[in-house]
Amino acid sequence: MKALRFVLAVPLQKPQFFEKIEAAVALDQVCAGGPRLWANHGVTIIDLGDAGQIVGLVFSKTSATPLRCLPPDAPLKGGPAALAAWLMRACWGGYVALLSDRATGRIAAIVDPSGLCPVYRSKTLTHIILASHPDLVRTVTSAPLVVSWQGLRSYLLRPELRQISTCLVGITELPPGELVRIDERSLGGERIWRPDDFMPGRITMSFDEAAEELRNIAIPVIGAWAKLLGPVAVAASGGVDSSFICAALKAGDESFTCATVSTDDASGDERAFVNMLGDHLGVQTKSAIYDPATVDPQRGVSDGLARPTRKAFMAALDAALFEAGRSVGASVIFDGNGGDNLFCFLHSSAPVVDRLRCEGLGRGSFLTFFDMCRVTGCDMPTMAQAMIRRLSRREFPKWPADISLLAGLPEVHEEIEPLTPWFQTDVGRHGGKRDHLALIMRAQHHIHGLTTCGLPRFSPLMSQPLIEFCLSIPTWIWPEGGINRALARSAFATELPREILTRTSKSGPDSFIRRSFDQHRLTIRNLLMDGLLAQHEVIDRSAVHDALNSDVISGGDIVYRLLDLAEAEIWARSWQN
Amino acid sequence: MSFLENPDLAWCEINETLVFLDLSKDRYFRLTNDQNREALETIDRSAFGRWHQPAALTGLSKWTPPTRSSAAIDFGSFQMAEVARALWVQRRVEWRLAKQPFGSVINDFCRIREARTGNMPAASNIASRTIRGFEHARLLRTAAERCLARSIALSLCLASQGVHAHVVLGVRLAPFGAHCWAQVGDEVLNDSVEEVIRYKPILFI
Repeated sequence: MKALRFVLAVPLQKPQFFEKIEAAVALDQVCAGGPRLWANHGVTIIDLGDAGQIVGLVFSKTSATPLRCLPPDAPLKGGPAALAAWLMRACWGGYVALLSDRATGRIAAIVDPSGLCPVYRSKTLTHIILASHPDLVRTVTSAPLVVSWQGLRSYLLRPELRQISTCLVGITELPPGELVRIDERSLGGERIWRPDDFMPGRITMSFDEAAEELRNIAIPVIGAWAKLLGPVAVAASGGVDSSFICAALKAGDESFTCATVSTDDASGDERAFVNMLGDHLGVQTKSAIYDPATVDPQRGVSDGLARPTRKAFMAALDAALFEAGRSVGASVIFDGNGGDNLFCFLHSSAPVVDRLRCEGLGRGSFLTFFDMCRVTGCDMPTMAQAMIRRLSRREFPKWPADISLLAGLPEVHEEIEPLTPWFQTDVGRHGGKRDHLALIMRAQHHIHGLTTCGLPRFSPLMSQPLIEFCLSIPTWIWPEGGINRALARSAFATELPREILTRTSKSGPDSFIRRSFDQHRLTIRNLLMDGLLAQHEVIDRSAVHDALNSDVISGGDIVYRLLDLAEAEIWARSWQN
Repeated sequence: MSFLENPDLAWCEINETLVFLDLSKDRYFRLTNDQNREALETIDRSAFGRWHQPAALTGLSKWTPPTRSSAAIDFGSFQMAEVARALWVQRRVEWRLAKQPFGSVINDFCRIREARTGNMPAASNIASRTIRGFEHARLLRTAAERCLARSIALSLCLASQGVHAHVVLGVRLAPFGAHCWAQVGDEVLNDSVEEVIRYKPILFI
């Protein structure tokens, strides 16, 4: 899989007559004359004639086949708003549609709602630039990109919230699902895709019907990506999410390989589960051990990104997965990122309260009450108290801020502008759907899309049809039977071994990360204490100094915070250079 | 390294790091890197193994790595009497753990278990009902942070049914964590296998 790279330059000056988007042969020709689009070799572009162009991969919702041109029912002459609405309704994929308005001569852009094709916006004295990668903006404008220290602080304050602003001065991200006019003023636009349209209705499916439907959607959707991007290796952990992908591929008769990476101690070793999965599905399994030699604290893994969102230890994961993938001839590695979020892995009383509000006090509410006691491991009095607190809550809590190790005042004056303003969604009586939406928003930094450079990883679970379907399922269906993500488990119950289906806990590379931190503590100390973050008063030097003395074995999560800060430091230096 | 002679000390080694449990002082501890290296050398030269527990307790060599969980955890009807008994015994064990040294609780537990135990298998109906009772009791009193009291209580209840169940304390590092479960042979009675195999046994009672 080759990363999708493109850049579009639109002159700021309003055109006197309608101009089509022209193709630019070379990057240095993009900012010249009328609107010009450059894309790297092999990127799929659908030419819509006067209506514009679509960059990226578009599938039909009805057939899950890739589109090379739009069908006759597409309203090509109806204007950008009508065409954007049609695209959101009839198609899915990872794309940005650049739509021309014949009446005004202006161009509008809409990014598909999955987040699999992030697009960044910048402005020069003469042009608006849309690009898949910040470095393309730098190349076409011949101007260096500068770190926004305020933006970086805002990111570190809420590292799980993807915002419209990035950590680079003058670079913003286009909100997925919104039709944004490409002119001097517009940052946000008209919301075409709205989660409100996919909230549960009055009549909901039964558990079995929903599981069947989820299966029927997942097989063609994940299969469509595999056909186009494969051969595929799946980064399998033996957990629900990656196993769901494996099962969908198997059920769709797609060939693939499983790849897993383990720690050298039992705390993060999932090979037994992955081997069991591979044997059960009859596919090859490649396993590797995290190699401490692949972790270089001076080399970041977020270089080139608009925000330092990747985790420091990922270099080891990337290296091992890349090697495993290469050895089996895979051209893309599918991961289950976003699965917990998509499959509504809630750890609260939300499903009980939702059911109580929708169905009233009855057998169903009691069943969900017991289900959530089992899922969360809490007892009935604790769950009842949580329900009462939730029932008496007037508004959805604000996105939490993590002020640890940061300099300056607490975040009272910080304004946040989420990339996807889903908190305004009309959820009716399904208050827990806001929690579900917040979960999906939390995944936005961690999914791998078509623009991912380096290791060709891809997160197919965040595909639009799966998001739309999962949003339409009431929160209480997901934990039915007292097990989290029950619907996803049930969807592929015939394909997956019982041990995987009933698995509720999962290990991770915790011990490896902590040992790596300990090994490179001095380098991390030098990076942070004498670095740009300290110089620009993003971090609290004395707090960081104390935290750096933490014991990796008995210390809490502060190690992860320090690693995030180190990654941010290296990322900032990479742009500085 | 004279502290290794302490009769109340149990230890195990994970990735060349020794973890100790001092039964008389109710605490886990680790050594500094230099001390750890020295202790490993001393242990390797001595009759002690890297896995050690007080002589008064069942030898670690009798421990079998778990391979399955009791079927009774997931299946069985709600029996109020069993749940009430589980809660009552668990609360008593919790009270004793709070008031008395851990070593003393273990000694009493071993004495009572030996006096009551017979040859009843853990898969018997009567034992299954007890295991299920403890599972249902979680709904009334959370199992979080109570694995030790629950496991001792379950073993005591099973002993009174004639089942000889062991209590296993396990530890892990990076980050440090301790856990406890009840086990008969290779069968875990109150947890999942995948959860317990993340911990290395330090005490096998």
